[in-house]
Amino acid sequence: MKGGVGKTSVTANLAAAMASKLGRGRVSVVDLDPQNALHWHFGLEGGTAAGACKQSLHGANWADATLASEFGVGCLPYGMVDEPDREAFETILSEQPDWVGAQLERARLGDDAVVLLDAPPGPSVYLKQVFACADLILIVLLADAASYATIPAMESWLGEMSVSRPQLQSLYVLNQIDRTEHLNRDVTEVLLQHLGARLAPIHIHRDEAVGEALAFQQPVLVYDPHGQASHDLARLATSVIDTLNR
Amino acid sequence: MPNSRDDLPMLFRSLAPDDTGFQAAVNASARAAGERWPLLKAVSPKKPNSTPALSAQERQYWSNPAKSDVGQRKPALSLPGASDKMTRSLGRMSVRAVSHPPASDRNPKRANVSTTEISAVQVEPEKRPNVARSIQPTAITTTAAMKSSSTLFSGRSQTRADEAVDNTSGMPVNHNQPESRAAMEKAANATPVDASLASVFSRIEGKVTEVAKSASKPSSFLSRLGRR
Repeated sequence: MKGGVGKTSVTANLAAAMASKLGRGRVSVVDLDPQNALHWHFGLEGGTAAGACKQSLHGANWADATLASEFGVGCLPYGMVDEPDREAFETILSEQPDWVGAQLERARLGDDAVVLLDAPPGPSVYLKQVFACADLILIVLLADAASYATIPAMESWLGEMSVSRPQLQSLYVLNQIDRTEHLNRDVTEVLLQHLGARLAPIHIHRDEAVGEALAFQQPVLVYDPHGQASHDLARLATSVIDTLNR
Repeated sequence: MPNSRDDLPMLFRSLAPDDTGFQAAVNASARAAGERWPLLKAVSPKKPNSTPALSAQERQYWSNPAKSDVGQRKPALSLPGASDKMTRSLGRMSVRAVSHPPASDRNPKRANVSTTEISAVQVEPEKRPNVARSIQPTAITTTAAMKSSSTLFSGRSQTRADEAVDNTSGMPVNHNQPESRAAMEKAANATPVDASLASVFSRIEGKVTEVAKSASKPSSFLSRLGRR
């Protein structure tokens, strides 16, 4: 719901963690955020002009623009697009609520595989598309006052969306936890009380290795495999796979 | 790994650890957290109650373009010189007022009226005209300021005390309007104000002056017009 909480970092690193458990070629990420930052986590500098946006506007298959990274994760960037193209893509998304799901089917990215969709913060046409086709919604937030204050709005939006898909699961994932901070601990306690099982049992601790890994254009599990964040993400990947398999 | 007790089959529930104590501890710590941080107490991380839909009348205020202020042209900002000039002229008036004998000797009723008005303005600022009050906070729009200034001098019979206080607050005045100019001239040529008005200016200029509280009732509008 809120920007700056680490959605893209968690998406990229969680995908790498899941790929390490499921095997190469079975995990893909799709960047639906016009920021187009997801591909940086995998060192995919070239080929950023093409992406989900351009492919959609040209009616082309998303699989043709999906890049294979060296970390076992396929990545479809949003693509470097100008404002008219972005608006045209969003028009398509608003007019066809199942567009993303249909493109994933067409590209066969989800066949016996996992696709992680990274949407921009806040309610948007992208988030509606994700909600229409996802099996599990992960809501990343920080254990701070700003993120905490957005939860009622998120719950309200989830309530509205769940009218059409009541069986869809959602999990809150706490990111950048720092147990030495009072507010961090207290927000975690309050969320644990109120959200219960809807709060992911694994919290991702604050670890500077995450930012450094991005600076090296690598997933943190590759950059610092024995670090705290890598450990948390590996456990979170296991938890998510178990949840999907239930 | 089951997430909750309910996920366990019946056979194993009795063997599961009793987490009531843990839950109680979690609840207690959550309550304590809410006491430490007001936001955690004020905001519940749950779906809020739905707000009532706007009524048809309320909707028209939000969607009616005719009620929008977007099309209105904002008046130009007043120049600093205008209020300075006003302040200087009012200062001259106060000097002239001090040099004249108090009005109480000639017109007791008028003096009482003036004193009442001054004290009412100073002691109970909330009873000032709405026009002045509206521009007190941050004076966001010059439209409001210009409207209020033109209203002050538009021929409405306002007390000199009110005029003096409002005019010396530095509000922009559109003295180009004929009504305002006529009112200013009338004020300048009218019967000199009494010493109470001078005290107003003295206070504005930073001199310490006692405020004369009047026990009399606020006068009516017609009595404030005075008998000229």
